[in-house]
Amino acid sequence: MLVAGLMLLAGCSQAAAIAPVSGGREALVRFAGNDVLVAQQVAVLEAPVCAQAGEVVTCSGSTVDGQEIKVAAPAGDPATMTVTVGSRTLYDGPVQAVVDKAGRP
Amino acid sequence: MSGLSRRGFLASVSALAAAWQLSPAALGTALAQPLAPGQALSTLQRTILQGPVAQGSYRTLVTGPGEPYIPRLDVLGRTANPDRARSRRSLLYLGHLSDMHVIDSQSPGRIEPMIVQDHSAWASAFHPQDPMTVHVLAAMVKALSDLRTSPLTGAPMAAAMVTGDSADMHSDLELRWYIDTLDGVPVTPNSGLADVYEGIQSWADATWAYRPEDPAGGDFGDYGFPRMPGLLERAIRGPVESPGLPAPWYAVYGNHDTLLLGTFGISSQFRTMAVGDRKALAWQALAGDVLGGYAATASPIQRLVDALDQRFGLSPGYRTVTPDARRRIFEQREFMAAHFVTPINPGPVGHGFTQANLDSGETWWQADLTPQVRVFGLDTCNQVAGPDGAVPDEQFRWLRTQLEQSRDKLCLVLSHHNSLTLENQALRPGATTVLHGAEEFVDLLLDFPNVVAWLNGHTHLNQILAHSRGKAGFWEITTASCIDFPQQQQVVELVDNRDGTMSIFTTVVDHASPIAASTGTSYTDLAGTSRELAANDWIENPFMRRGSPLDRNTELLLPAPFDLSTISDAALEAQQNAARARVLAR
Repeated sequence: MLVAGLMLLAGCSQAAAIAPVSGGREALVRFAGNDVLVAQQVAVLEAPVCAQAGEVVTCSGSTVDGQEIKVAAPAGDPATMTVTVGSRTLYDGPVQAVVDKAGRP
Repeated sequence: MSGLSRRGFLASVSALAAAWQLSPAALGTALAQPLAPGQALSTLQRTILQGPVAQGSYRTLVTGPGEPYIPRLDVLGRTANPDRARSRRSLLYLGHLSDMHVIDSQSPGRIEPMIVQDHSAWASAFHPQDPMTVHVLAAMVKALSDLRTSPLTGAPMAAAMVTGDSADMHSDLELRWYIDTLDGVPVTPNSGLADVYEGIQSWADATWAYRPEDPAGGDFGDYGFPRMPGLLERAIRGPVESPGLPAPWYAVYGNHDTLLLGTFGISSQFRTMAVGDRKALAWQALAGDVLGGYAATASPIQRLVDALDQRFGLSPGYRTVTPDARRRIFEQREFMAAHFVTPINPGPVGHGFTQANLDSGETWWQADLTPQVRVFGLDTCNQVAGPDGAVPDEQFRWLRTQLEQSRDKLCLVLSHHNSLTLENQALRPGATTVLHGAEEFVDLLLDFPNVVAWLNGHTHLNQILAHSRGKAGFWEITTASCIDFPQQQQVVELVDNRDGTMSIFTTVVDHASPIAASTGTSYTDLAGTSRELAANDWIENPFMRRGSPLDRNTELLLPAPFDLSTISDAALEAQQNAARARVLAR
């Protein structure tokens, strides 16, 4: 029993390490941001490059005509995000809703 | 633009006909036909999307419109020449497979009950579609065989790249099934008792699993997973006759080909369990035995106790199944050795690994796909613990040396891990090996403008990232998996735009199977059922894994790293004729 109990603890700590294969918040935000840009026919020069700090994901890119693209997803569950091009806000809402919409006809 | 001379063409036909034992006249007629874009089905014509709710939260799948190529300018850094399509020529057309996760779902060498402990963390331990991985892979091979001619230029597929996680639970049988399916050797995806499915999905009291005979009473039933009577028996009927890949294929290690579930060291207890007659039903028993063994590997006494425990069945939480010695857990070198048991067509024998690899134990290699294109196959898997990886210093230095000697070629790099998952610094106690992470590795590749693409997998999603420095750079192309939805792979084509730029076209490929789950018995029917089940495996956030349109069908532009006119049309025609002859010979 002692061995089993110790191993449960070991299993828990190592199980957390499996998480990357189960998906990532950064990838989710990046995909959803790109979905918004493509759906709204933004001419992208540099697709948003993302970075994650804790639960916060921020991405930045640029358009062919030199405007800045920003995707910002603050901490929180479920995740929300804002997608802006220059001073225009293209989307402000749940991240998963964008992915779900893109996956349906 | 001048290809082979008449004399050169005839000499080429004669040599290829002799090499592949083909009729010179028939081969000459075939090769005299100009290249024309392939018409086989891909996501250029049709996509697969989420359909209406069928029951509870369970949804079917439907077809959606095709997706055209989207140009990506990130590395080029400017708009592209709008006339480039008029003058483009194909340099190389490839298939790319990754994360096939072939599973022997009846094996005791699995740890499915761990999802009860934490479904999210242990999601890869059990999927409702686990019994149909061979069928999915065969249907994917069929799709790639159908796409043996480029849908863009008509170039023949010259090679296929396999970026790891081929055998899910380190079993000899899974390893053989994966190799045989890619080679076109028939596979009967059954183990243990003939004609009877003995895995946990046939156990009425495994309520935490999807049980197709009657899913009621557990999470999968609550979600709305349907009854599918007879599914498990259909899944183990054989043989599954894949057509085989249409081109030579090259493989690298994935973390599942290295560690248990791609994460844990392999204990002596687990090795015994895999070929034994007890399969776990309860996660508490499994955690004690398998993870206990993991921690106690260094103790001979503990190993003896555990072996006796395995032999005499002292631990509760197990059920008796038919043992099968073919489920033996392979050693690291045996993964390479298995790739030498393979036919010469599609080949190559070793699939990238060479006798030098077997002799030295080095698990990385290089090969020339054509006189102009060199590929480097790396092993980024951690040997100690954890699913993610890094580039060991020995490989890092080797790659730099090889790239220094390859400046006149276009270079591709293969690895299992991608730039978001190269941070695992786990070492054995006392080890001093330097493990290089993503930032250093990307910097290394950026030192060589002739590195144009890095193909990888691991995260089971479609993703394309740009890496650039100044006016040069390369594209990182991550393909999805055959286990999780969308169960997609891809074809990749390098194209010379003849204007000082080149393009890399990526085309996402669905496996060649029906959209809807069915009671059909063919391997494509079972693959279609697998995809629908995978699309409802909610814990995996399946539709996120499609990636965005910028990660699927794309034209990835970049500056030509050197004067591509040094690659003559005649050389390309000879290369394409060789690939076409090989396809005809199959």
